Amino acid sequence: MSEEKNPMATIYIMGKAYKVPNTLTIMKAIEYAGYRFIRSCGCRGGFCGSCTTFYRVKNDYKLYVDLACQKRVEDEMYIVQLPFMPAEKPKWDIDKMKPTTDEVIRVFPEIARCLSCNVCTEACPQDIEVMRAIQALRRGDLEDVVNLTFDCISCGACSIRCPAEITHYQVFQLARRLHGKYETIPAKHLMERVKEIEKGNFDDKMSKLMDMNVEKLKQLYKKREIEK
Amino acid sequence: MEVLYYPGCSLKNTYPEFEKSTYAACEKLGINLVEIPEWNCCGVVPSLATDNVMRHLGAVRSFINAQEKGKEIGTNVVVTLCSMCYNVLKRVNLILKEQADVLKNVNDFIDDQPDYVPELEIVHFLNLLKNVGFDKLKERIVIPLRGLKVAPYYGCALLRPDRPKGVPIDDPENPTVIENLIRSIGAEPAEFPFKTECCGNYHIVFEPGIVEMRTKKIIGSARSEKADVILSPCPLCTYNLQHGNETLDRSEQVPVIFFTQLLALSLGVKSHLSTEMENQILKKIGGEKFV
Amino acid sequence: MNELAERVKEISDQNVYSCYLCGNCSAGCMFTDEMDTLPHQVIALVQMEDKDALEKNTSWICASCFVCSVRCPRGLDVAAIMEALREIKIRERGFRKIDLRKIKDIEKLPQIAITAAAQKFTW
Repeated sequence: MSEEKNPMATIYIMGKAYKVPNTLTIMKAIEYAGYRFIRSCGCRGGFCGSCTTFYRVKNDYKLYVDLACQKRVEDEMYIVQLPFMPAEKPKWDIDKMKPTTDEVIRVFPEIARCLSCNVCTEACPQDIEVMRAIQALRRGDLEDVVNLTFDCISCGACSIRCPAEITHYQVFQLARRLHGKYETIPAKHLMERVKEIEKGNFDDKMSKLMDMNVEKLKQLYKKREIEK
Repeated sequence: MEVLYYPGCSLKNTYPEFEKSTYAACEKLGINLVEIPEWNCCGVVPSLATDNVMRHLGAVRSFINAQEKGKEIGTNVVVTLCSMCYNVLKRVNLILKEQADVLKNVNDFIDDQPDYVPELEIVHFLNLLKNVGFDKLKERIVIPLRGLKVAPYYGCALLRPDRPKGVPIDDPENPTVIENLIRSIGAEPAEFPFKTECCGNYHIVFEPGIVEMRTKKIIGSARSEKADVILSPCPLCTYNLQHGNETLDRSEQVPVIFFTQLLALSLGVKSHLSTEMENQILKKIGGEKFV
Repeated sequence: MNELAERVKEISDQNVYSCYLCGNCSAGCMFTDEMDTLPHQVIALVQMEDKDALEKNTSWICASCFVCSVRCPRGLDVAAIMEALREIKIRERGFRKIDLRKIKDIEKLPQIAITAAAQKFTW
């Protein structure tokens, strides 16, 4: 392959310059540069939210956020990955709660500090309208919050940029659970399956799996039914 | 008459009955409230720091949504029911009208929405009623609340500060608009020296003792004027005064009512007051036939 | 103008030297029972660049009811001066006045109160 057909891009991984093929994703480019992931890497399919990456590009003041496994490198890209978003998870007992905004604010009173700056939305690699969801919560519209945040992968990029120090993904999780428990009609087939599990219909099959050796498990996994 | 309507968090979460009674009253008065789509929290208390433009953003985003909706329905009037929201929105709007640099600053920052052109007019629902005319309102009253003595409580946010000029809806030292409302619904306004005093505001969160001290004086003043109820235009004042009532003996309490609920009652539409409260008022006005 | 007064002017656009200490603000203030120093005395401290002005509880007790601002014969927005004193503290790195997660009986409070407190006591 000639250089022309596949030009190289210069990227800076935590300040150090590397030349990498510009067709790679950020994740593959980091590996190409010789790094081996021990964190900030998960499903490689854009679902798990582990590989959240902050970057800037030349001649642009904007701070961008994307998933390393989804975003292609650009020339003159300055990269750092978010290994983990520190957040304390307050305890809540869903059985004792009501599906209202007030209940969510009691658990996360920092929501009251939202300034409507919209920086969270700018930071979301999943294109969620994060600020709009927080404000929908303030308007008391739990269902709107749920619909807006369905694609949240809890990467924490919004939370690291929030001037009000809100941990949005935890807030949204609570909102979704409250909505799911109290405001949606329970799925009939799910309730039936739960009853079957509680009756012990699957206990035998489970213990068979638990007793199986690794080789057999691997074979079973390879032969599993896959939806096409 | 069609106007834009900014509800705020209290009317949507804590006190939905305030909003419901307003909608009921407005239907009777031929006022069509069009809720601003996707309105943002106003922040409740405006920033008094000239260098803290960030705190205006919630209001400005709501203005932008109001501006776009306003073009559709052909109005630039935004009505609020909450006096805290009124204060913030009015203040921010005036700042944006007067200070081109601040306007440019926020418009530049909000690059995901159209620019705000500060042409909206922010009015409190009380002023809307005043513009409709209290005489006209009087003609629509079905249950005149004769014999009911009402203490008009203004609080702070509707009256102060006069900076930027134009925030107060009435004379900061001797307002009369709530008295006029009370007269037009057939009730009698109490001479109430504490009507413009502060209820203690957000101190209810960390220093409830301050609120208790304040509300005790306000309720005590209303009581000594033999008021049957205190009429409040502010959700937070209402909450604080009700909290104050809870700390007092039953004999010292004066019930607190949000102004649109009493208005709805007198207009003969659903007031969304508690049955107990409603009966108490109707009994007082000798209108047991209404009970 | 001293540095503290300068800072107050920067934030609030109010010149404390306009104040002739008549005490109208303190006379009208409904919260003086709770204050360790009266509002006009705090302004006097700022005039003399006494940093104690920042340590008095006056600005924190002030609930921005603006009675002082309406009544000041010199047209000073006293509530804005109080806000400036709060802001100077709040903007200090590491300074923390309150913890929203530790509000007593939060389940009883309306959003409007929590939001107002959050706006006033945190940056």
